[in-house]
Amino acid sequence: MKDAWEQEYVEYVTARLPALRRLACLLCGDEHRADDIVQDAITKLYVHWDKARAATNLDAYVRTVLVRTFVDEKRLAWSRVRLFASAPDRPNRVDIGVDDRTAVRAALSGLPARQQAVLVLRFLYDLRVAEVSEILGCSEGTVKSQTYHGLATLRQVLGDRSNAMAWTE
Amino acid sequence: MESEERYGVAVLRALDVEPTTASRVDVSRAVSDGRRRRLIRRWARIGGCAAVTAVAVASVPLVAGALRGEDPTVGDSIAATPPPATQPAVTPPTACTVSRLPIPGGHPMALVTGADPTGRLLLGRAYPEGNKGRYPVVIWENGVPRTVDVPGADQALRDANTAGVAVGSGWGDAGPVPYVYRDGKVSVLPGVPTGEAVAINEAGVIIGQSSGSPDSAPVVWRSATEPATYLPMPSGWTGNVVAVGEDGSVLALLRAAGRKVPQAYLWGPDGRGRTLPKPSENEYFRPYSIQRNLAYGVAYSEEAFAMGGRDRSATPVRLDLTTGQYTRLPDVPMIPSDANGSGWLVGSNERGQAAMSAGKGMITLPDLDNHKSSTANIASTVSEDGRIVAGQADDANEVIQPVVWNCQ
Repeated sequence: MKDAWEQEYVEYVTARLPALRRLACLLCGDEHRADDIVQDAITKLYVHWDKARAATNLDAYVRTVLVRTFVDEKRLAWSRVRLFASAPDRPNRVDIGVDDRTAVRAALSGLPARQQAVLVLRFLYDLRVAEVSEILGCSEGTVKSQTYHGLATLRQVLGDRSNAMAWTE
Repeated sequence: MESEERYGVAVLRALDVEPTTASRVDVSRAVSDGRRRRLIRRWARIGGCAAVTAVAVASVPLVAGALRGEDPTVGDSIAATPPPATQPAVTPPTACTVSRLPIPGGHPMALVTGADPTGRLLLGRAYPEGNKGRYPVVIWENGVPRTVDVPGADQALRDANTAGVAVGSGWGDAGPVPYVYRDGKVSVLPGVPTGEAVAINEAGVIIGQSSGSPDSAPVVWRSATEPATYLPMPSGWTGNVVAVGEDGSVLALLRAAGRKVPQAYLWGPDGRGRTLPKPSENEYFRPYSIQRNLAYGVAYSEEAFAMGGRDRSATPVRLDLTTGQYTRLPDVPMIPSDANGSGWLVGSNERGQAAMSAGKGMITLPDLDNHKSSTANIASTVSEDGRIVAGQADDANEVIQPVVWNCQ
């Protein structure tokens, strides 16, 4: 019985790995660290597999586990606390000359983890405010505020470059 | 908001690429680690509760220099000299105990967000189970909690003065709203469309920022009832205030238009602003506290900043605002979060322990339970007499608890 339970877990996770790695990469911008996040998230998933496999939308459940692993409650503590975490709390001023992807990644990684998650989920995964609030376990108002803060900082850091990106279709 | 969405999509789209390296994720390891964790959880449910609370108070004598793990004679002896004190000397503490602060409402998690200079009042917020971004704000008076209803989401009180006036913010419909708490009532600080209050001094001067889109601008409320006045800024600069001195000086971290790294900035009591010197050619100063004519903070490498990575060369420093001279504090191997008038610093070290630098040595504060993670124990505030240090610490289940270290 136990074997079947575990087999089901292994099959599910193996099939979902590419998607999970992609999401983790988009969140943290570092493939190495992304693998650590996925590893941690799927370990948590194993611990809660009883509950997870009964979820009506298992993919959404796993995504939530992964995003929350990335955000890590501790980074909600004061910005100074974040100095030890790998995501610095300061906007990274971006040099002119690097390509857009490097520039945006540098700017994004300067945001608090939760703002990064909100921007990635809303604008790369095209999730609605309500869905993001579910994933992060916060109010829709907080998602809006994090979006506002995050975009304002990106604008500030990326300056004209990002305006050009926004207007070239 | 529609143009904001368009902007967000356009900019974030630049990141949309697939991973290029082979996966290191190990499903079988997840299974074996997961099995072990399930086992531990089962044990914790059976007999863990009593053990968890029993270790909440632990007395550990503090040994000067014990933390360093390096030759105490190495290093700059000048750096260890305490700053010139104009206040009556206070003897450094020698032993501290840690205790968990009670969380009202039975919420599982809370942390400390600020304190008054005496440590009598500790500010914090609780995280309800399945929280939705609204937090009960808590004030502990001599360790006894009461909740304060700060409106909005993402609420917090961040600083208080000895008179018991506290300041902070909450997120309303249009953006952040600056609040002041006094005489048991929360009211909006006037004069900004949206904004946050960050700190208050003993004279009741409150500093913060207005957060008009897209730039934020430092402001001062001369009192809780007067409208905010904007601090003069060089053209095109933006940034946030950090701390207010007892003479009304305001310390901030700004970003100049077209400059790569942040710039520490100070407005004197007369409201006149000036940029603060850099610690060295290749470093910038991130301040967090002002005590008389001394600013405390951390010197960071500009190169590491440009790369956006973790900066292992970060050094705590003290800046004499009168002479512009920096003193490096290499004997303080931690990221400090607060300083008091005696120049004692508290923070946490890279091993995840809370730590204090008082007088000559570096002292480790006892864990609430463990220091498995690098953010397990964090000392956030220190009282003027150095007897009350408050912050957060992981419990046995790695849930953040509000704690106070009482020092003798």
